Amino acid sequence: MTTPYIGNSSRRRSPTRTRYGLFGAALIGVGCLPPSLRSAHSLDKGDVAFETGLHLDAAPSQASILTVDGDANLELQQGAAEIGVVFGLGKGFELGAHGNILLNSGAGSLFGLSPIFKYSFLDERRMTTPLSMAIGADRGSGGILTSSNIQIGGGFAVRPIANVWFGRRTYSVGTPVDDRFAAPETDESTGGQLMGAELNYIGFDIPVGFEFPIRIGDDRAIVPVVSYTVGIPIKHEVVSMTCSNCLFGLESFNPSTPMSLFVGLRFQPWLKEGPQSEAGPQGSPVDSSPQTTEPDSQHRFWWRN
Amino acid sequence: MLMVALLASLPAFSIGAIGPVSVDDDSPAARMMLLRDGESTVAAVQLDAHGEKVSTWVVPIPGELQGSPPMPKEIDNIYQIDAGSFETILAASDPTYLSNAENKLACGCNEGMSDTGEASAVRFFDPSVAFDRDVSQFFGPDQTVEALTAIEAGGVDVNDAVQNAVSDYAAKGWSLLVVNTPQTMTSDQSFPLLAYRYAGTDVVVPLALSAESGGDEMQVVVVLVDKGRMDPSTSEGVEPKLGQPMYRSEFTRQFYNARVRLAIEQAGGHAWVLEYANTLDALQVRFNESGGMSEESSEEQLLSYSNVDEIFDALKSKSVTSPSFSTRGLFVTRWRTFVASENMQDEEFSRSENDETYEVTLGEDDFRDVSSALFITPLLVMGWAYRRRELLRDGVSFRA
Repeated sequence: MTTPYIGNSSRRRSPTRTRYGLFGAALIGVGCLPPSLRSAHSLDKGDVAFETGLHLDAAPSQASILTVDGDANLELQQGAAEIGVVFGLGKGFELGAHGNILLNSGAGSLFGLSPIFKYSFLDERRMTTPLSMAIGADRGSGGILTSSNIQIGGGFAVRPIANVWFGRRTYSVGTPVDDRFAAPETDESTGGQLMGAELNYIGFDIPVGFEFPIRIGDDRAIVPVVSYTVGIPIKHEVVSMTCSNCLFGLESFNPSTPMSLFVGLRFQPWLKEGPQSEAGPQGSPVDSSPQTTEPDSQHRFWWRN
Repeated sequence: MLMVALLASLPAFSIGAIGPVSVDDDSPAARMMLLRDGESTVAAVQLDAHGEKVSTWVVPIPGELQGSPPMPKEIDNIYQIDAGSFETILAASDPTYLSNAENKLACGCNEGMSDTGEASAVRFFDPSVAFDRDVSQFFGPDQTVEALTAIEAGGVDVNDAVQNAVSDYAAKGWSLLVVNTPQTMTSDQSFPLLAYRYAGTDVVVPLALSAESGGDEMQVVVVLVDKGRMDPSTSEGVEPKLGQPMYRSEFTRQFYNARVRLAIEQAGGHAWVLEYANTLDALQVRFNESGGMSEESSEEQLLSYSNVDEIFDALKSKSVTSPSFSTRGLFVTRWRTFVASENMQDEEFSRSENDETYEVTLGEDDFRDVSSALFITPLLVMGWAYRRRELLRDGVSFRA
């Protein structure tokens, strides 16, 4: 495996530095959406997972507006569709990227692209442990991930997941503006009326939810996922307010604490006990028992070959 | 509908009766300055009738005319002064639009500051019509019949309401100035800016006569100059809510005037909107900082004025103000209203209980609502996670 590195290509970094460098780069970066719910177990080396989903704003921001004939309220929401790919690097590491398109952005950029990094330091696939834990970086946030896989029969599982992310992001909320709040058409008019706000957010995002892996064939699974993300802001500020072709004054704007619903579909390898040689970083206990085809009374989970 | 109406025509207002007025004409607009000058009051008033074939304007005057030196005829105590002098003080006290483009707030436009008064129809009156003493007349409180005859001859419909209004003025000791022009004016012409001083300290904007002959709706802006702030005595004084602009600057005037109308409607249709309240010195500073009148609102004849107290110089040069008058310590209050004919009544202004200052500046606020907390919290969490990992690695087995 080629050791990944960043920065000047003539200056090769050690794997350890690179590992933390990648994490740092992802953490320093600024996202535009809260991180998605992410399980804590890792893909095997060479495995690939694809994911797609929708972020739906569960707590719209409220804008009180002063129009030419009265007062009104608008709700500004964030909505986004995303698509991503994640590669297993082995030894508990995953690396990937996902892009998103904002569905109702009234301010800021419409598209986003961010790396995904994860390191499972406690992996139920390789260790006898009731749950998996990992650290990760996603969309400018770093976080701690926990999940547990509950196998139900041979082709279905339920995977409760909770993440705690901390990071910063600049995100936008927007809403279409009704014609009655629109300015008359002039030469400077642009198409449509859209109000948006761009906000800076520093704080925690805590997505909690479930994955429901459904086995397809021998090795793959289609995984519906649903989660609800609660934000705990440390700093939350409005960067800008914009409105195209509008004709009203803004009396007040109250950005709500970010809360979002995520629904998605992931295509992953069917979860199986990982290669023992890849278990754990830097001397973590290694499960040397062979892979099983039956429920193992010593293990909490069911594995398949 | 309101927006459509705003685009189609700008509403206006007048003082006194004008005639004749067609129902199809735009509403008239009037502007008035009332200045306390010792035991007398100086008034400067101008009317833009916005009407075709208008030739008569009636101005009620609430006291005996004074002049310095006294003139043999009252009509000679009426002076025409340069409208540009009034324009300057109006330009300085206009609500201003302050762009926040540098903060990416508002509309992203780049203008620094502009006024909102041009489209309010109380600015830029045509100055071409001169005051003609030979065809204008002055009637004292004991000349009611003669006054009504002159008013009717000028084309005003003298009905019972007009007769009652004139009689009421006479009963209070008011006089009437009937301004006539040799030729009828066109809709783009205005009556001249007239100034006079009358005995007494009643600061009154006379509107009652307009109820029957001033059109369906009128607009008036009044600039009150005294040693302190002046507020309307009988009507409500309101301040429109404007908020942060979410429109391009070209719509600032339209938006502001719509909000002024709305504030008046919400107050029951009978209210004055406060547009400025501060000292004359502060007004001069504001005028200087704005760079004078903006280019987009310029009219050539008005650009020669650089001080907001030009109108006082003009009044002094005509000896309208008393010899002892001084601009030191003056306070300027500006009110404006749109009023429907059924709500037209004389409005008296009196000293406010306090001299609270006020300016209309659109785009002044921003919404950088920042909530801060302990930034150390995430570091502690990460530290705990790292230490936990070290403990697990060193001694804690995951195996059962």
